[in-house]
Amino acid sequence: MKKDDVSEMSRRTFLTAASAAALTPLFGAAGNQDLALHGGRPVRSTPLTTQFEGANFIDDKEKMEVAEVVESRNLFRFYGFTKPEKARNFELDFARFIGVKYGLAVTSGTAALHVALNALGVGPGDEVILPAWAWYSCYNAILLTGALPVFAETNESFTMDPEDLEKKITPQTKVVMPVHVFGSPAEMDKILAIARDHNLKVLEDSAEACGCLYKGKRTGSMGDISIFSFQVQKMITSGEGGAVVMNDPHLYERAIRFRDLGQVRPVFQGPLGPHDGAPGLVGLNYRMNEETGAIIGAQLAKLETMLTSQRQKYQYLHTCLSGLKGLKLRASNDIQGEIGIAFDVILPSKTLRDKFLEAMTAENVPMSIISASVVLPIMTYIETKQSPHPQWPSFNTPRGSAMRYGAECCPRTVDIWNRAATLSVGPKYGDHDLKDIVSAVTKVHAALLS
Amino acid sequence: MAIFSFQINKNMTSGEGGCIVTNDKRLYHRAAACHDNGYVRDSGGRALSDNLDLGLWGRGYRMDELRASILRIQLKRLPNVIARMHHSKYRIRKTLEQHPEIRLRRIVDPDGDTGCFLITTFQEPETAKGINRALRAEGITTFPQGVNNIVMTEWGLHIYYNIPSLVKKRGRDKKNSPWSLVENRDSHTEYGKGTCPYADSLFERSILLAIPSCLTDSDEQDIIDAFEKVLGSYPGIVGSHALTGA
Repeated sequence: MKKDDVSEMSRRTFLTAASAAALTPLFGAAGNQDLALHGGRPVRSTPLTTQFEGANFIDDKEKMEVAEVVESRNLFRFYGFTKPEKARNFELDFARFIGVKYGLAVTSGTAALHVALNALGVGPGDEVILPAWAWYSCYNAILLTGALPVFAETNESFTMDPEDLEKKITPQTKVVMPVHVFGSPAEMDKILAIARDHNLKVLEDSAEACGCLYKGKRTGSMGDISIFSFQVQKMITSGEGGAVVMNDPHLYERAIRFRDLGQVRPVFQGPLGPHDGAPGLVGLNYRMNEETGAIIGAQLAKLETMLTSQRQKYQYLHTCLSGLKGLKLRASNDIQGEIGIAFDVILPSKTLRDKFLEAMTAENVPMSIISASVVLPIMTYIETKQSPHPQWPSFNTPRGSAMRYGAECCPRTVDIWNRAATLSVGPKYGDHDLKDIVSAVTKVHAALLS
Repeated sequence: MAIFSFQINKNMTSGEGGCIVTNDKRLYHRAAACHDNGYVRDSGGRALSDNLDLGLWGRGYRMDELRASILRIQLKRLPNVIARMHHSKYRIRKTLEQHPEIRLRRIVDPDGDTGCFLITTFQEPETAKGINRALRAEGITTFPQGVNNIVMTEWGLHIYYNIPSLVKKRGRDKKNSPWSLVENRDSHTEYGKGTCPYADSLFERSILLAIPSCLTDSDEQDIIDAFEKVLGSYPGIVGSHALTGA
């Protein structure tokens, strides 16, 4: 599969954006449009609905692939009535798509994180730096290894702030985990340089960003090891599922073993080459089954088409709604590489943000606070350092014992999150839906911010 | 609490899968939190992340709808699958009861036995090996062989001393956790062969035969005939032709 060429908007998109931009002054004139919140007529008569990404594109192709598996009765990927192939073929195709040597299919993004961290050999006494704004699984997976999570601030791209990353490095730091949230890439050049200078491994969490680009490279192709999720809210989905990708055969062997009870099955012997670099490694069971492999394989074949369409929608909104005074669009480390699943804004204050949300919802173009990823240090179970066992090693070291989470460890992230709002850009939104979004945002902006 | 597996070799399957069951509501909620992202959900599917007793580190073990739909069909078929395995196993087992040289597995509840495995134990390891080889030569085997009709020492990771990470105490990180943890410093448990000598002896002297639910009367008879033939010919078996040279 070739990479997207997203260096230019299509002519149609440009013309549409230009027309929409020309309408802005009408809504900019105060008093011309009463907010629906205040009894005015809403932009839409019915609410814009949230849409799933990949699930929206499920059709006969996925049905056929699953039917093949059920008919063959080969539900298990390593042996059966005949030779199972779906999960394995997906791994090969996915590695090619991302631009890496090895891909491993697993049961979830959370599982992928656990596999990746264990492949890296992370354990008690180690520290892993992750962004304060990420998903529970990022924190949980680190804790499960017995290591200590250390939070770095995020900036207005909602991704890891490289400057704060550098401040958080200690002699115990082993891994940096940049998270490409909401289909948007982290600032990989700086993060990779810092990691290199400090001899740290980089684990890219691209769970929410399958297909995202950073300066022409796929997210997930730049770190030492990377993970993806195929849960239902992701760009491609099998309901549940995940993948781990890497270029290093040593990491590949450790990942293979940890994900499958410590063993290397015959199908991996050839690609792995001479191994036994980790004989007897303990492992769990995070194997993907064949029917899951069948669906996700069919989804992967559609991903380029989905990405092109999604990017066009997002670029249109971004172009139309840039430059509105007081309404900052989320910063991007590569605006052309963004997938464009979330249109995010930052308001001057929490009060204004809350009012903005209320007003947008009343216009039937609902925006919300961001919950697709969360500010982890302020989650109660994290702030109170809940542990599955009193002697769990993560918090039993001097550093772990002294570690303090909560809002005080990430004030900048908390501030941004309190002022941020999001709108999911549905993959099946038509031109009229996009125009409604532009109309609603400009209308509410005019009333509240201009 | 109890757990079940739905991997391909199990009585019901979705290729991969599993289930936890309990009667305790609190344990149920904690298991639900643990198998999800570490919290329980409300009726709208949103996280209720402030209940610390139910807030655990989630491990992402949720099942998807596709596997669940396969399993619901499999569950409906399960009584029939069990009935057929049970029938096949006990028909074969009944004939083997005539042979005092075979010790059959002690079944705690024969009516409750699903019948998916038949285990025959012999006096000596060499006898078990020889009988097993002879049975396979008579065609009592499957393709691929998998774990069917094997001496139990060949049962891979099911046998404790076949687990290299356990026997060699291999940790998963650079510090060899959990073996190197200070909390485990007073543990001197070993896991190599010999740690459980009685079990080791049973494994060496026992043949494991999987009983599929699709055996026909003819298949069952083939297994019975093979046992009769092999036992009748094996040297050292009481009643064997080999003793009399017949």
